[in-house]
Formats: sequence, C-alpha cells, structure tokens
Amino acid sequence: MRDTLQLTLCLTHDCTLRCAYCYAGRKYAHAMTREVAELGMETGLVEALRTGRGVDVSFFGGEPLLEWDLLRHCHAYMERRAAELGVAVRYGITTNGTLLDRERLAWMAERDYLVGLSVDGSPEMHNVNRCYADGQGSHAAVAAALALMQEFPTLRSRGICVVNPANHHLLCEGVEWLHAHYNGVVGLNFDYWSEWSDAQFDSLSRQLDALQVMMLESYRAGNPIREENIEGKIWSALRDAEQACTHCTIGEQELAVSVDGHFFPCSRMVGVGDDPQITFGNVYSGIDRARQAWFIATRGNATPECRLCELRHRCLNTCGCTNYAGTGSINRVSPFLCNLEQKLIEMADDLAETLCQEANPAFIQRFYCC
Amino acid sequence: MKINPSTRKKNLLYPMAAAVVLAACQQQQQQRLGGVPLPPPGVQPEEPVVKPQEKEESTRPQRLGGRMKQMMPGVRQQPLPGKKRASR
Repeated sequence: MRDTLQLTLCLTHDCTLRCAYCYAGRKYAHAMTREVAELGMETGLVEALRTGRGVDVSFFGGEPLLEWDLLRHCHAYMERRAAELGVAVRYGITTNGTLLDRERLAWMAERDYLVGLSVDGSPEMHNVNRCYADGQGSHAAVAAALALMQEFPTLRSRGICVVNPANHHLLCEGVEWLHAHYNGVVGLNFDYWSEWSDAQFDSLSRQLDALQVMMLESYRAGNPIREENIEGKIWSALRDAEQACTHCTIGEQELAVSVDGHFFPCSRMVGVGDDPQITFGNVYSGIDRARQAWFIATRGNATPECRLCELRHRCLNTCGCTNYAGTGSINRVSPFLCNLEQKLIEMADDLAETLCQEANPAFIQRFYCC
Repeated sequence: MKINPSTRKKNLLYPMAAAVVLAACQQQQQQRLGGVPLPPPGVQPEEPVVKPQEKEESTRPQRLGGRMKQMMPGVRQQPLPGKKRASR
C-alpha cells in the first residue's frame, strides 16, 4: 500500500485546448482562489498527519500552467507548512504542454516535479482529439514541449497518451512516434467514459497485437518501448497475488480539491461536478466522514461474475474511478474494462514469456535485476 | 461486449524464473569482480567433477531456458542447438 496521500489541486477550469474526450468538465475562465487552495492544502496536511503519511501534491486543471503564479504560491505555502508540521511532500503536474517553456521546466526540475505531459502520439493520432478552440490541432506545440523536456535529463516525467474510439486505430503509429521522440515511460490511458462498440474493440485488439510485436522488437533491439499498462501486468505476475492487485484507495489516500473547494475522492471524478454521490465535503466544512466511510465500505468490486475470474488479482477491477466512468458505480466493472484487461494481461504474458525464454538482457535488467 | 470471466490457467515460466535470473545476474557480477560464483539461493553446490557419460542428461543449465525447464517437473531439458554439452 502506498504511504502517501495524493492531494490534487484543480487550479482552474480554463484550458488552452478543447480536447474532445476531456473529463474535467466545462472550460471557462474560473480559477481557484488562494484561500481555497490554502484550505485544501491544510486539509491534506492534517489528513496526512492523522494517518502518518506523506503528501504527493499534484496540480491539475483545466490547464494548471494558466495559473503559474498561483501554482508557485501553493508550492511555497506547502513547503513552509509541511516543514513546520514535519510532513514529507513531493510535487507533480499534469499539463498539455502548450505553456511549457525553459524557465518553467527549469523551476520544476529544480524542485523534483513529476511532469505528466498529455501527448497522444503522432500528429495524426494527437490531432484527432487534442485541438484548440478553433479546431486546430495542438501537436506542434506539444512536440516542442517534449523536445524542451529532453533538455532536462534529471526532470521526472511521463507521457500520457489517451486512447479512445476516435483515435485507437492510430495507436501503433502513435506509440512509434513517442518512442522516437521521447525516452521516458508512456502510459496509455484508455477512455473508459466512452462507449466502445464490439467492432471498435476488435479493432483496438488488432492494434494491441501489433503493439506487442513492436514492443518485442524494441526489446530485441536493446531499446525497449516502455508502457505502463503492459509493464504493470508483467509486474503483477512477478509479485504474489496480494501485492499484484492494485487496490484502489478511493476515499482514503486520495483527496482532489475542485476549483470551488469541493472534495472528490479521485482527480478523475472532479469533472462530474457536484454529484452528491461523489463529493465528500469541502474546504470550509471539512471532510464529510460519513461519506468517506461510505467510499471505503463500498469500494472494491461487487460484480458477481468477477469472482470466478482467474485474472482478478491482476486486473483493474477495484479502481473506483474507472468503474464509475464505465458503469456509474464505483464497484461495478464495465464489459469494456473486463475485455481490455484480459487483452492487456494476455499481451504482457506473451511478451514476457518470449523475452524471458530468449534471456533478453533489456528485459532481465528491467524486471529481475539486480 | 459482455463481462466474460477468464478461466485460463496458463503455465507461465517467466514469473518462476526470478530466482534463476537473479542467480545469473549475481554470477555475472561475481565473474566481473573475479570471484567464485555463488550457487543460486536454495540450490546446493554441484559436485566439482562429473563425467558426462555418467548421466543421460546434464543437470547443469546450458542457458536460462534450460534452467527454467529444470524447474518445471516433467519438462525435458534440451541442449542448445549446434552446441556441445559442456564437459566438466
């Protein structure tokens, strides 16, 4: 179990882009006030102290770099208060890259930020969904940001590539582009909010088959494609069942603060607005403990069919926000999640089995050594 | 699309290879340092001299795959193609 509280601050509703699949809600010029930010951080610190955890602060939006001054204010405030209270803090940000520059990257690198850059692979794949308000694609801007990031070798970063029904057919060329232009790890974020038809899922499966071949060849060439889902599934086979299962800590180890100061149990749920089923208090009234207890008691997987599944310990079936996105319930699995997880586990096992039998040095170095 | 619980039970080798690979890494490190390689955890040191003709199959691993197969009861270990069995 992680020993940190994930505290997400949604600094603004506004964004430089209008991505078709964005789950973070309507875009308009409305930023978090300093008062709300400070109260949110205080709640996070008290909660961390109460449970003996550190805090991972994550800046989110909208596009959080639109509120650069507020972000730096939050950083300074958190540094001061965490030092006073003796709480360990790390920082991260999720950005679309359009407002990244050398000065900001240097500032974040110096403070050991983890920068999550949203980039959907190749220009063709990216520009299907990630456009400016005038409909123009944003790939050129994000490619420039990616190039700038490479100038900071100590900067912790990850690429975030969303795969949805509209762009999934370009998945392989997207990953290929990322592999050529970015040397970090990439996470494929599958869109669980959208409806996937059977035909679209079959088409996605074919892309994943081709991706498996690409990954195999990249390991053989000594320059592996690093993808978080597949690596996670390999790790899930290497660890024992209890460790393998990524238990969702919704309601307990995550606290997302919306622009207006409402508390959500996960940053991915902030966009649903003030759904009373999902919020649990606000910065003024504090955490609603009854609602929090409900999350903790309800989370997990109550889907009867999953009890029979041999792969349940390696599957995302307990992830509250993923379940909520797919079924409207935090403990019910969607058919898309079930089919996708089985596909990813099969891919990971086939890939790892082949590489292990070949005693592939890059694979051994990554997963076993030493 | 439907929820379709998996009933597959695959006999995967790679999760079981961890100890073997770890030992191989340690052996490599020892050799780099010029020391005597240690046997993998839980494995008894082999006898110093065994004549090849005394055994039908060598139990010494020829490669990672060989050692992995050795771990799996009932799986016959194959020597590397075109390579003579190591004599000791």
